[in-house]
Amino acid sequence: MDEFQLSEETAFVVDDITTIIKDTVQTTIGSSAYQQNRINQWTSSVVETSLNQLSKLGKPFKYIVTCIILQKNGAGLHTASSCFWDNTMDRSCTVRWENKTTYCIVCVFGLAV
Amino acid sequence: MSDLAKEKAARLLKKRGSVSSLGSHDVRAKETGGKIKDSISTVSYIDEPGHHDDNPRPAVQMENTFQLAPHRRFPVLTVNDILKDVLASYLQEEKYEAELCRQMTKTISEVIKARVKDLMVPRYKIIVLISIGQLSDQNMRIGSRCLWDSSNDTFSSHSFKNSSLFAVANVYAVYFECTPRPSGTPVHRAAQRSQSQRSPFEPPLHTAHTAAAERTTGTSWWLRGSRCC
Repeated sequence: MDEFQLSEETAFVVDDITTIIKDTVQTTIGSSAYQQNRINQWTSSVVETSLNQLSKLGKPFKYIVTCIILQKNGAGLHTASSCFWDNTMDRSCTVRWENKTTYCIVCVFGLAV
Repeated sequence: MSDLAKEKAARLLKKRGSVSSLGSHDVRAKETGGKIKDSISTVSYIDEPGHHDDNPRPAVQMENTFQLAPHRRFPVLTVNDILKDVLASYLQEEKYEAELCRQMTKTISEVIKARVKDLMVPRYKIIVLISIGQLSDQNMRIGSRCLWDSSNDTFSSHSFKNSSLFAVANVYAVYFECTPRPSGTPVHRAAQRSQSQRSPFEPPLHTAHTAAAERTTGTSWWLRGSRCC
């Protein structure tokens, strides 16, 4: 019965990924107010740290991590993604995070090797 | 103009069955209160497969074809042109409106995916990511980083701006080393096959680690919109 199901070691576990991402964003930005001169460093830090943590999971996936950091201004933003992949094995997840002055949207795509 | 575009996109969608963020009932959103009270986060992810398909196909067995590199590389410049063309044709005349742009992001991502698929580059998985936002006095930064095989995998990116909105489109192309074979085999034989195929996951993982390089794309926006009085 388990033949076609993915085992724990090779599955994309959404909960683990989201925990990693949330912790990363919380550590990087936390409750800091939006600062234009730090945004460069924040974006790089979020994607780099997330990717390092994801690779440490040791799963057979290629990862794409995208981060959008946006100042809260009342302006609107819409994001959409469309994927041509193997539906049984590949997954994506999106984490939207906000504090008083900043929005942060992180998308993770995991593609099975 | 935009109605025509929408109809065309709707027709395209009906022709091609694909999983996308269009089916909002399939995307689960989990509200989780942040532990720290001055930040909140929400999560959404694609639902389990099989709920989308009208004709569910049996799961396929992956077999090695021992072809490590693509015969034909992903045409980055062609895809750049596709992105330029699609964004300009759909958004040139549009003003930012919440409902319109919500629909537009989904439509545009499907259209771009369809056009990139039409290039028929074999063995590449395609991910299209599009963001449309309102031009206002806010500042934002979009960045991405990938853990992949940089000799085969690549990305293409384009950004567009008019007087009231901006749009950023990213296309990621990831090479797929195994080709699927249809499973006509009985269950017990498939079980043995999947057991023996579990170990090949380990070597490719190490290969991916040593060969993977990271490419960062960054688009920094200084947004100065004209205020409407």
